[in-house]
Amino acid sequence: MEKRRVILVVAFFSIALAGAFARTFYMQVIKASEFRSRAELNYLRRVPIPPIRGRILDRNGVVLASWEPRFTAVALLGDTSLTEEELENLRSTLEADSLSLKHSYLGYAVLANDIPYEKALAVMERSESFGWLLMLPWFKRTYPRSGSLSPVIGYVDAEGVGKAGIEKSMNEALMGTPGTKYLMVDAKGRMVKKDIYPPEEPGQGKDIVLSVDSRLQEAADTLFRAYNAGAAVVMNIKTGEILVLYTKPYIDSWTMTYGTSEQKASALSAPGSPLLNRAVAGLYPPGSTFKPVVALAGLDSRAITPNSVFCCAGGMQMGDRFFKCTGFHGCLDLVHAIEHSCNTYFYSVGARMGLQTLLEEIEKMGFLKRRYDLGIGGEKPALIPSMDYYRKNFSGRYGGATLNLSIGQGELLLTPLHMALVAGLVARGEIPVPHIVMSVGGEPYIPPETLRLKVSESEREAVKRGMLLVVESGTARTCRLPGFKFGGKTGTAQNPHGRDHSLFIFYAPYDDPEIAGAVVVEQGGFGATAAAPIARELIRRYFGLPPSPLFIVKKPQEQKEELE
Amino acid sequence: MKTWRSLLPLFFALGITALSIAELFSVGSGYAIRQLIWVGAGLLAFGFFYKAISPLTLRRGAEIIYWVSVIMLVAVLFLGGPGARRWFSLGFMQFQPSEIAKLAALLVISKTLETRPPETGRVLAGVGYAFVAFALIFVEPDLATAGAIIALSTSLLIGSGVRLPLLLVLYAPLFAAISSFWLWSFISLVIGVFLLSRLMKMGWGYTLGLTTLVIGVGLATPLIWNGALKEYQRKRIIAFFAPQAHSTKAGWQALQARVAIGSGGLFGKGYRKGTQKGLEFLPEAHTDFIFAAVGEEFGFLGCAAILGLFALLLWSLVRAAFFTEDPYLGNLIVGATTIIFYHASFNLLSVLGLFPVAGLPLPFASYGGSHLIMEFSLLGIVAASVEEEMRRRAY
Repeated sequence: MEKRRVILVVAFFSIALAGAFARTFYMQVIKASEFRSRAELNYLRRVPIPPIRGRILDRNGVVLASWEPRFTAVALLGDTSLTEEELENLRSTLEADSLSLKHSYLGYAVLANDIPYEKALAVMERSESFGWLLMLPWFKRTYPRSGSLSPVIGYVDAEGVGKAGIEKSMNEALMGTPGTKYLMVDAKGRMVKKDIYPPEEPGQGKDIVLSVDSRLQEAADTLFRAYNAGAAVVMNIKTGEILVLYTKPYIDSWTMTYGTSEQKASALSAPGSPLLNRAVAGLYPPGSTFKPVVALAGLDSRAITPNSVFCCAGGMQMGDRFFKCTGFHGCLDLVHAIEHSCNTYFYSVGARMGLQTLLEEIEKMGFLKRRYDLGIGGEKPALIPSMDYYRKNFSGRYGGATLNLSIGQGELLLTPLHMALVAGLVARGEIPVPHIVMSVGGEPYIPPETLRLKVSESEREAVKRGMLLVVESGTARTCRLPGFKFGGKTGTAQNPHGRDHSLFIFYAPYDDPEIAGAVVVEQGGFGATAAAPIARELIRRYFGLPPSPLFIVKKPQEQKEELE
Repeated sequence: MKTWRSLLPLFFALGITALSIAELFSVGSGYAIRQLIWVGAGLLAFGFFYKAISPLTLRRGAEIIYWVSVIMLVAVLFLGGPGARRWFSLGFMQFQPSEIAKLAALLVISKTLETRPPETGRVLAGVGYAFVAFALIFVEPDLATAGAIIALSTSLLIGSGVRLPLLLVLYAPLFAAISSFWLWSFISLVIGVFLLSRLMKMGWGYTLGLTTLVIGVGLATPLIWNGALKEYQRKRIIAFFAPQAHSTKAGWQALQARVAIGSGGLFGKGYRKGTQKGLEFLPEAHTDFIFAAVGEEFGFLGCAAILGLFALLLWSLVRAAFFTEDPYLGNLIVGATTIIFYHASFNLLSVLGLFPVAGLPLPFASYGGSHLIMEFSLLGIVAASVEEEMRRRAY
């Protein structure tokens, strides 16, 4: 054959071979790593391992929320399905009633959930017969001491995301980091090999230490046994740490996390709005527990001095209306007016100040109008009506409104937390901002600021002393603790829907006060009847005082007669 | 030239076969064992064409063989299937008449174009033979295999010394029709044809005639395509010619083949360790995509070995063609080379993503009996032709 012609014929093939060679070199030598990662995209399936959620502890290290190791049985089946025999084998090994074959969004079938460790172990020991099965760890949220702490702790949803309380507000810190399991799948999505790379273990979230004292909180729960609804707040006023944040009724964290939808529905529809955290969001008329605030306002505005004396003849006439007192107190100074909760005295203070000054003084104190974000959710500021409100609704005749405000009735509403702050500020003059999260992952929380009263020490001392006398010899004298001095103030909040709410605020001990608090018992009647005994018992337990001969619990009717 | 020289192409081909069977054992030993049987059958076919039947005997029977194959091609259009009417089912294997047709066309066109240079009448006869076989395979439909007939006839026309002016007249309309879909390629073609025809000094009549032919066909094609055909007809034609062009499945396969090759890297992932092949991301790993499977598991070294063996095979066939002085025998060698390397080139180019997936096997490598027997037969004819040439020189 003519060489030239032959070469012409094979030229194309030579070029094609050379091109193929160059292309192969380019793909396999120059671009190999790109293609390798592209190949990995095909066969590598990353299966997330849920993170280990951090624990929640109380101030003494009592575990409030933790986790237990559980397992989820998962199969990557692609377009194949398991045989009846394989399913039955797994079902009997797990001792499960039935297996689901739900295909999840990740393309794998979840066969069984919430498998305890021992049963998972039984499966893993027989790995040769369950080669197609993946046991994914799952960290089940547990609440060993939820109970009355449930509204503080909150709960998580099915995916382990915090939905309320500390679980929600601290979700990011608690969450932890998910791990990853690296599997090999074939083109049809079937698992071919487990752990082609060592799995990345999930990271544990941070532990949260709360300032609450679960022992004291549970004591509060016991003390509230006789009542349907109420709240209690106890805080350390040297540090701002909240020790008790109790609300009733409440729904247990277990119910909200693991309850069936019917269980949740019935819990939520229970009487008394169980989702309302009364300790931080329950708004009550403070009644007489507000008198210390009015006293401070009067002192600060120079309307009165601790020595100012007003005389009580059973009430005060304002225009065409007579404003009653709780009794005939005669002439008394500030300390004794507080001791006996004399309305007339405080009517006089309010009248001397005038509505505008009184409101301005409350405004200046500041701490009442603040919302304290504890991380519980739903925290509310106190509701103090503005001057504009009175202008709109009382058309210039403020006399009656002023007197009502002076004894904590009317449009004024406080949360138990704010009531506790009143007692605390009277006791110490300054308190670090209240908080409930004490440390996050070992890092202590330092309150950024301090709440302060603007009155002089001697003036504050007078109010503080008045509160001491309330317990020693005044309206709450039935709640004295022998050999232990503490201050308090009873209150009765008018309740248009039924019996009055029983209120009590306190600080303890009298010398160098350490704790302050507020107890609200809905429909508990007079302050000294229901709330004060609970407060007294909390104080006794906090300071480890011996049980003392208990106050005589009188029926509200008798007590009313006695007081009047 | 010694005897072993005539067997040289066979050795290189068996090298390719050996490498591919090693990979077939990785894909599935069942394939590998059956492929070994097919290789045995292929070697028998090689022996048959090498020793049992002389190329000169084949020359005498070329027309008969050709027409018998044409009858089979017609028969398969009516009796073949199921699916595309390409094959007869023989129970244990599928028999494709187009494989016989390639051999038959090789014989008959080689015989027709055995003068140097062939007279116009012979050229037209050769083109006619090619066209009948092409058309029958084309309507099966099997564009890729029909293309082999075009490649074969083109090679033989060039190889047998048909003058360029005549070749131009024969092929210009085809190029004009294809290039007319892209403006610049068409303009380049017109200018190229014009300049080429001036270089050949065939006179202005030839130049103007050829240029007019090219422009005429080029203008007519879009007019027919856009004017006379409706949208659905055009789509049908595209789907008919290139069923895989718009299929996402074909695109996926082509991508996975490239990923398989590239991820093999320099040394490959190792025997039976290919993830693309092993986890079924690479479909047809044993047939059309065997090169990708080799590339994944044996890496660049494996690919280079296969490409190197193909290069040596091409070189040995070219040497045989150079050596052969008899035009008929030379035609046989050039034609056999063309059929083998048409398949090899388009298989490799499509596996490497340089050409749409054509659906052609890789000669001597892909799993499958028909093509293997046909390819070994071609090598048998080549070896016999070289022996015949040697015998003549000995006298």
